[in-house]
Amino acid sequence: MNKEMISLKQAVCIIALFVFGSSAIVGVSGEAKQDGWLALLIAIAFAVPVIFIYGRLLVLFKDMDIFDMFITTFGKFFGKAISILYILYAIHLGSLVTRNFSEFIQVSTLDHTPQFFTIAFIGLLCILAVKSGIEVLGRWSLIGIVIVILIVVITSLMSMSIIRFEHILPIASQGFSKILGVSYGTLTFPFAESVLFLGVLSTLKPKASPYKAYYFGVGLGGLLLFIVVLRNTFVLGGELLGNIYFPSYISTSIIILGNFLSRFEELIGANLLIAGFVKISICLYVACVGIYKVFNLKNYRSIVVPTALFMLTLACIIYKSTMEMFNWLKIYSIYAAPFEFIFPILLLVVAEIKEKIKKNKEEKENELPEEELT
Amino acid sequence: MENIIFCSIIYFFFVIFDLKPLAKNKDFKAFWFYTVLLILTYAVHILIGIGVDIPSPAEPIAKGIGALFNVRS
Repeated sequence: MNKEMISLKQAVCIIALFVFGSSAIVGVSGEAKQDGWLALLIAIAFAVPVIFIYGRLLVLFKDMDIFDMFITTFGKFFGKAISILYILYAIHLGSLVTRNFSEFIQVSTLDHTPQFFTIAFIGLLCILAVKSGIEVLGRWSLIGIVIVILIVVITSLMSMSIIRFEHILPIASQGFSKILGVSYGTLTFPFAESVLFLGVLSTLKPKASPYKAYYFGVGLGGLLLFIVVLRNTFVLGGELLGNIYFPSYISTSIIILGNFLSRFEELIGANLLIAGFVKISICLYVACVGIYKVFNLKNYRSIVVPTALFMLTLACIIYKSTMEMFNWLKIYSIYAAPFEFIFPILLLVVAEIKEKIKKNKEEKENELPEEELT
Repeated sequence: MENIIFCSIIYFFFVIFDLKPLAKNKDFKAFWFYTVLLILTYAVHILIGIGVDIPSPAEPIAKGIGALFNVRS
């Protein structure tokens, strides 16, 4: 079987959609109220060194995914143990995102439809995408990102009539410790979640730089989120922003143009369909590749369906209410830290030390024959 | 009840069109992995369908982290 390859453009689009994914619907840095945009900017700044670590790992371990990296660095036993943790993390994250969307659909439109059906249909779509391979997902992302950008631009322009710029004032009134806390939460969800791309970017074309893919992807996703957060703040104001679920939906639902053009909130549902679908598919893809590597299976495609079923079943039972879902975000910032920061940093440190020892050995070996000659 | 019927139809199609070929190709590792997860998830869906309250795995995680870091969910 030929190895799947994605181009730099496709990788950038997938990462941007992944970052934008559920965060656009659930809302980021809402706790910081009118300073949410500031918290988001700080989170993007924090994300720069974090994604440098991810990029460096991809450069050090060429053509390897995150599971190969752990197994070659920490040995079979510890490597596979950490890999299993990452598989569970990918499955858990996928189920959380699926549940975000089913909750959103139930709250916004299909209030009498059991969430099981929404989850099942999203799941079937993701199974089809992952079974088709990462190349198909890459090509889809190229189209998807254009639609998402158009939706963000259109909804932002449409809301110009109801924007009140004074909603952003007073700046930094929440205090810097609070803003920093919120920006850490925004870093863990969604920016550092891109750690899962360590399992995807091994399929990047050889000439393409993983640094570029990461920086442009997270940058584009961050920029779109920034526009959305600014729009929500200008339209709703800090107090309201801090007290509602699904702020993007609310802020676009109050747009009425010329007394006859309304219901723009359905565009937010389209965002969900495009970006969220990519995010769930990436989680599923990484989980399947991990299972295929850890258990030495023949092909990752053969286990897409059971892994997806497990993910979707988890999504059905993970929360009991929308409130519980939003409360979980506080726990999530701590729960995700080992996967997003501690393990990658540990891996990078060990890999750099190994690389240095290897270089020193090679230099010594090169020096010896020269000395013998003289 | 509609959950159980819908779920059974989907699972039936997966068994026929996805699981059966694995056995035919003698990919037994994947076959057993598939079968175990299929039975497990189907059982959970049946339980949900008949109204059993299944505890969420997020609860012990939240409790553990809450106790360790003094965070309230």
